[in-house]
Amino acid sequence: MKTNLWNKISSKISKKVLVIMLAALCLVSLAGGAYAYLMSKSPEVNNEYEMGSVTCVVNAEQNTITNTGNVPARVRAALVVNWYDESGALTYVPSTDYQMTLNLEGWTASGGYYYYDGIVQPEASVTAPSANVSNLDGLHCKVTVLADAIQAAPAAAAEDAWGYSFPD
Amino acid sequence: MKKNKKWIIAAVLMLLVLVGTLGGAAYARYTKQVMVTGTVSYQNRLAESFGLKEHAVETLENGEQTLVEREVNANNYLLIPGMPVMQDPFFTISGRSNVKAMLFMEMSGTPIGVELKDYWEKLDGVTGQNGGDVYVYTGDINDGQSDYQIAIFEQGEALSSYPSEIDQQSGAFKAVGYLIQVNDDAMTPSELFTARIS
Repeated sequence: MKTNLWNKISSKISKKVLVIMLAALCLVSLAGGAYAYLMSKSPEVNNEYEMGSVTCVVNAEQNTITNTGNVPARVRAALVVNWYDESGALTYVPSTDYQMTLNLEGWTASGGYYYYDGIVQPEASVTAPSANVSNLDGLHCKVTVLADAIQAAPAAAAEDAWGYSFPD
Repeated sequence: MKKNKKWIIAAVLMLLVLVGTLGGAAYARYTKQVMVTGTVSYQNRLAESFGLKEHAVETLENGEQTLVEREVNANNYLLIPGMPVMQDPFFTISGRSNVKAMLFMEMSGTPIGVELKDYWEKLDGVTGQNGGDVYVYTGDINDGQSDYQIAIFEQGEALSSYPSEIDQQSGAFKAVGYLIQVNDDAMTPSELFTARIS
């Protein structure tokens, strides 16, 4: 009776099924062994480097200078006065022949340049120095602003390059 | 013949069940016979937490860069001649268990303006999951302390000029840590890392 029952059960279990079951048992055992070792992985840190750049742009219409770089900058400017006759030709006029009133609020004159007293942050703009020049008969005057920028830090950078010490 | 094989397989399976049952019974009997006092704990981890972070870098109004208290996992460093590159990634291990372990660090890319702390020893010929160089921490994280904070870099000197090893557009590095159980004291750090990670 017993034998008959077993025969019925065993006849339904194929050899393939038994092999698969045994293989699965082995795999589970191996996997268990591998996971027995403890390990922990930290989060990652991802860092990028960007080259610092210092550039500036003069907007003649708005009379501003903008720091277009990506680091805070010191800025200096020069005012160039040019005279043109009625035909548009460049004409030399001695500086003693005309009066020039400077608007230097926030700027300090030194050695032919005007140095902005503050630090200009990236994308920020400051009002450029300006000049009102007296009229001369038959001549037309144009004042051009030329600007330079240099990294604000370290402070020695501007001193070394321009020979000027900015106020603290 | 076919019928015999089935019987053999069935007998083996039954034998396995029998051995398991007897083993369980013996274990149960053993636990009944011994009185255990105090606490028995099972260490299934190396630490309660294992992290890698760094302080955020910010540019001050005067153009100097500084590290602030906020902790992050990514920074964008500006390279400015004459200024150091402030960067301080560090591992934190809290609630360290007493399971012996080693700390590894994988570095991909090229850090600029800094040197690794001298307790990081490079494993020659070993690469990590990100394809980076692998270093082992030669300090002790098995001395019974609970918490550790381990920096990766010495703070660097000011950059004298733009590094030549990177182009003018970009540069980057990525770091990650691995805390690995030491189950065999005979294994070298390279062997251990390779066996568990590579």
